[in-house]
Amino acid sequence: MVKCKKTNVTMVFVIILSIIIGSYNINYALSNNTLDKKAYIINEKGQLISVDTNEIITEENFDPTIVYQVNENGQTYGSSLYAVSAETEPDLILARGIDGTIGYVYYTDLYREEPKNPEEAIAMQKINSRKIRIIPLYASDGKTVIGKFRTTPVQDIIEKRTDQR
Amino acid sequence: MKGCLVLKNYKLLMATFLIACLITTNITLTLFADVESPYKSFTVYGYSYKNQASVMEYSFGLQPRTSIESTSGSVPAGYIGAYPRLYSDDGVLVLAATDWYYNDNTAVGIDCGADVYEEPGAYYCYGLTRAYNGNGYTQQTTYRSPSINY
Repeated sequence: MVKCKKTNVTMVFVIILSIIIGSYNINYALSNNTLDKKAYIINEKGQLISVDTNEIITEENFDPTIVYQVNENGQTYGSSLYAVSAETEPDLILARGIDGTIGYVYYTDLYREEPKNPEEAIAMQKINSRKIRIIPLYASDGKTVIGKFRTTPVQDIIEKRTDQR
Repeated sequence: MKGCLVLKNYKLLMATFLIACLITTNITLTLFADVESPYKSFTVYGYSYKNQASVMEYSFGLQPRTSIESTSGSVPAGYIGAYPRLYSDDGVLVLAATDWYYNDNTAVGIDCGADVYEEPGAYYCYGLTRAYNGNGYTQQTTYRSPSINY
């Protein structure tokens, strides 16, 4: 009987202690903005700046492990707003689907194949430019389809024919 | 007779004034403002280029735009391409063009937009451009435009 009472007191003590530690951790996370901490910010010149070091991020000092996560298939996923070049874009780009679902679109689905020469570029443009495309929106595993992403035709095109500098 | 002429002119003046007011209001409501990134300069295949991302703000939404311009004079057709994209403030891609736009003719530069995005929020335009390098294309990001609230 006494032993049972002692166990109960210990249990209550452990629960109270857990609640206190848990609350402290949540408060610490919220007050230090740990839950929504950004590794990079964008300055007024449109450049990417490291929050920790205040450096301008270029291709040379870009660290994909800070910006992107890697899924079980070894694919990087995250926001391409923080890429500093085409080469530093993730395999799976963070995107909002047609119905507001947040997921990822494949880099290759979005930008498609690069033309080899100007003639091919013009030919591809004639085929695709006026179309709307619907591409799959995936979960971070790159396999589970969770929605659809819609691309829109290029419009309001201005071609400068003469030097207007 | 003279009074009638004055009244007629007064009516004409008022009508002109009202039409002018309507047109001005319409223009103001249709196009509010835009934000632009700084130019990014680079050289590909002997041509110097500058590219830029911008967002046009209309009363009915935001349009991301991307431009690329040769500062070495005209380039042949198909040499330069642009691809506009719009991102929400938290880095989510919300709008992208279906395909790249390339210059159809010999041109100094191109500037193109994607569709207008209507959801309220804060957004960036971050464009992509391509320039022919003799053996394919060199892809270059623009700088990000300033964030714009809609």
